[in-house]
Amino acid sequence: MSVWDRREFLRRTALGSAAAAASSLVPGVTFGSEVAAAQTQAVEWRKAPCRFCGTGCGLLIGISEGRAVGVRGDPDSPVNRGVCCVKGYHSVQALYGRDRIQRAMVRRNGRLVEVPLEEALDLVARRLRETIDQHGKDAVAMYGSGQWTIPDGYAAMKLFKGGIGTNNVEANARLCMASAVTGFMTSFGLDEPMGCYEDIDHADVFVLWGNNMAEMHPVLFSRILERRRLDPQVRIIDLATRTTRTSYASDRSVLFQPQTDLALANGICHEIIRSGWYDAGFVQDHVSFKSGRTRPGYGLEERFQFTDEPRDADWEEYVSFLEDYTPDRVAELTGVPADEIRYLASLYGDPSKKVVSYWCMGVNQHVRGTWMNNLIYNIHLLVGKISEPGNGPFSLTGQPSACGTVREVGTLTHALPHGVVSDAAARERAAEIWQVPVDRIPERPTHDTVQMFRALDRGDVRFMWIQVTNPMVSLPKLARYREGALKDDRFVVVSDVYPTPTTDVADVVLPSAMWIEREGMFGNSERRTQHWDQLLEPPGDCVSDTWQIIEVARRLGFDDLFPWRREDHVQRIWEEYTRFHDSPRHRMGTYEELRSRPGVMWPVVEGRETKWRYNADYDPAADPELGFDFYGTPDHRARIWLRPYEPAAEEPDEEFPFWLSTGRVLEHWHTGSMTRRVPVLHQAMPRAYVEINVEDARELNIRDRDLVRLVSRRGSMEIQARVDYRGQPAPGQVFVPFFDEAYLVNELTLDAFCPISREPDYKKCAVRIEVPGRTGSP
Amino acid sequence: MKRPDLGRLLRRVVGIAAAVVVMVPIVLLVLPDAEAVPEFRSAAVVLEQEEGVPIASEVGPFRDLRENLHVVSLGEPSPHVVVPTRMDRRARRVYEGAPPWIPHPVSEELDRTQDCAPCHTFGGYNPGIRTYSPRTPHPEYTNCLQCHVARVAQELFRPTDWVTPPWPEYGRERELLGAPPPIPHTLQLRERCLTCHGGGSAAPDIRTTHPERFNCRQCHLPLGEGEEAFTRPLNAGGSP
Repeated sequence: MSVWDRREFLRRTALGSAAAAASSLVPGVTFGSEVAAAQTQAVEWRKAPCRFCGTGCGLLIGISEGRAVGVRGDPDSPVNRGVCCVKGYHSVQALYGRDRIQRAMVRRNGRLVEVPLEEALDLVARRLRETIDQHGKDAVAMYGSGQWTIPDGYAAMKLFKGGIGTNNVEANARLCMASAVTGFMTSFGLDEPMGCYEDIDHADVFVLWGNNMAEMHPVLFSRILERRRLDPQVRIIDLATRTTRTSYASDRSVLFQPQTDLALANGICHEIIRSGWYDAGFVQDHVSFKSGRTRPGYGLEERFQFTDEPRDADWEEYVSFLEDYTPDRVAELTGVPADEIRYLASLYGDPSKKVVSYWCMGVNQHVRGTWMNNLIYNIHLLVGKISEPGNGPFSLTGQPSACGTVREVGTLTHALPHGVVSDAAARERAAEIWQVPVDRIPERPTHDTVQMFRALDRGDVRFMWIQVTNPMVSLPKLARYREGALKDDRFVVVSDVYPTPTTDVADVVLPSAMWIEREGMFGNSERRTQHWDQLLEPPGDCVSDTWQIIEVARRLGFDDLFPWRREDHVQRIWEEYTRFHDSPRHRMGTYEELRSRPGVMWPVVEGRETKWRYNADYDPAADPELGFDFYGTPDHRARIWLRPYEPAAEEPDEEFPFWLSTGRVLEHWHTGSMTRRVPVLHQAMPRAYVEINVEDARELNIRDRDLVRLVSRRGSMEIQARVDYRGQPAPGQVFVPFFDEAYLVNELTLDAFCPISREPDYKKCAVRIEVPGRTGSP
Repeated sequence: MKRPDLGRLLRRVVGIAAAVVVMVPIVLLVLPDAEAVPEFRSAAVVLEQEEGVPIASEVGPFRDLRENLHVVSLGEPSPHVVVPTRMDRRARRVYEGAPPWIPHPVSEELDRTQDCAPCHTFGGYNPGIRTYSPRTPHPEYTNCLQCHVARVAQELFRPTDWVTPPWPEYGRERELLGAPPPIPHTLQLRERCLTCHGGGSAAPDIRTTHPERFNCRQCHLPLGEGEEAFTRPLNAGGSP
């Protein structure tokens, strides 16, 4: 029996009671583990950030006799204040899956066989060297993720960009928050949010843009709910394409048609200006206007290239641009009633209300993701609600160190730990700190993630080392990239903690120490860097990803770049890395501060964290004469961008009449390779499904739990239908979570991406629904 | 010192044995008739429908909206009422202090709306599942399913080597005979003692005998966590 029904519940409850009662009758005899009592052992509680999402909850991990035995929310953490979510509370169980990879493995005759770690590292180094010799240094690549610790990412950057001399470093974060980066860079000239989670304590209105926070950032959502409990005037507005737990908990749920959030944001700005709700003084003093190229394409062509051409615009041009976005026209496009658009504008425009906007994948995984980020900033800039307590746009992240590692260390093809490779000064600074010749760092970026895997398929990349991520579940249009990775003469190294579909394509598997089995740092969504000590011995031959890279680097002859001892290499890396950010705009906490505190938010100036950047009241780097000083841009002004609505890359048609959106569920994190090994989480959410709208299901004669076939132009799969389930898609839309490797929804998705950020759109492609056994599609 | 009352002990043993004898046939004979079990609904709705008809004598205390419950003497539970024990409740947590999983079915609607408050704000007898809904110790948190999930499957994705650590010893066994027992468990998010120790949902073996004295931590203190005993060398202050 796989499901507990009510009767089973009653039976078990009664039997448990009976067993416990019986145990009291016969002292010394136990009746199963539930009634076993034993002596309390000393438990030591040590701090670590949560392993999973980008919220960055502070945990206290209970350690007893060399094992993790429990988790508490760290009451001293300003992030979560002692509360976690179900994943965090059970995160330590993810360490103990019986199928942990504990030995290095090499593929021989099609099978992975265990080998000594030293032998595997020798092989990795030899194949790296051979590939560079035969095909050039741009034929080797490193692919990591926002789950990399900061030292992991730094070591990877130093080896590939400073040692080997290729910009072939990318990370799963490209699939997750690249649009947030390009949004920040184009609007403010500097990455990462100006505000922090403390905004929640001050805001009156929370607008969630395509962001099911109740499931994906539950701890922050609980803080929002707490804020509303303390002040019933607080309003939560859920803007989404699908009705979710967040919608039910919100004061208002507004559904819009996929892709039309671009029009909705412009419509809100139109209404703010028409009603005179904009802050003319703020706009006059702190904003400049830009427009860029339109119709930039969708990145579907092989070797796609696009460079935006920003040009100056002005207020009149902006007002004229917005004339296309009257409430009535926007209502027609979005499906959101015109009155609702006016209401949203009034919330943003009311000078007595403080407003925070939150978003994550709905805005970022978008073929116009950069534009959509720009448009949310436009709203806040227009009404001057930014960079002060309770007022601000806030881009959330999905991975624990997407900010700390990928964005701050710069583990992307175009980036360096400070600045970009195309900037000579940034290359010179990197070369100086790394003590390498400046011309070793190439000035041209190579491939973004999708195009890096296209290059692997084509053969332009022959060697790829994948650490701490699972692209053979997470890449869009998956079949092409899996086939590419499996081609002869491709060599794939995978460092991971469990077998996954990605280790299935590996030639070498390296056993990684996981999370608290090694020392590390993560950086969360609010610029907070969190350190943890090694709390456990890793099993078997497992070593940290950092040390794997150092071992291979030394085999390649880069000993001088990695002179650190194993005992203190994390501290030494931190001390070297933070030299890149040594200015009041980005100075980071010292190693000692990180060790002693539950996270330190940068910029740290004279020992103090900066909670609100660009506002001279809070940010020592801002010019007090200006008040608000957007110092990331040459003119110290933030940008309002003229970004139009454009359609998605693939929209439903007669043959494929449904929108397919993909995403996460509360219980599982990313591709589920860790959370599915947590018994409580797997038992609560054991398999993926497709959510179908109740009206659509009725029309197609599909009942809840029927097996259906989803078909797109890329692939198809059979999967259980859920009707009127946890999430309720709007008519004409379906939703599939992507955590389940048995139902690879990314076989169906499209690898179209935002031309500026190169982040794919996992939220929009076209599918049809078939019912197996019935003739023809319904 | 009062001698142990052997007669009372005997009555208690017989009472527990009788409970076992009563419960097992209920489980094996009565429950298989699924139709006899009413549809699972929120207790609030059911109670309202049956206004004036006491479902169980213990309903009263849970309808008291005041912060501190008036807990009446409960006596022995009715034979048809399932009262989980301390061990049952432990079995719903992966480790001491972990959020318990939800032991009853969660409807799709409840999964979306998280409308757990009707049953769990004040707790109370829930005839749908013939047991008492425990009162939440933290009603201020309303994104309930953030931490508490229902198990819909029993199989594992992969086997696990996780070992649930031993639970803290029953507090009574730790300290001086006759002294108020210390609190053997963590208190984080469980600061309201009567959630687990008072009222009908309390496991009989940890139900307080004196709920009216609601300032619990006046007498019962949390056990330390490995702190060393205080010692002071005779000459620690140095010579004057």
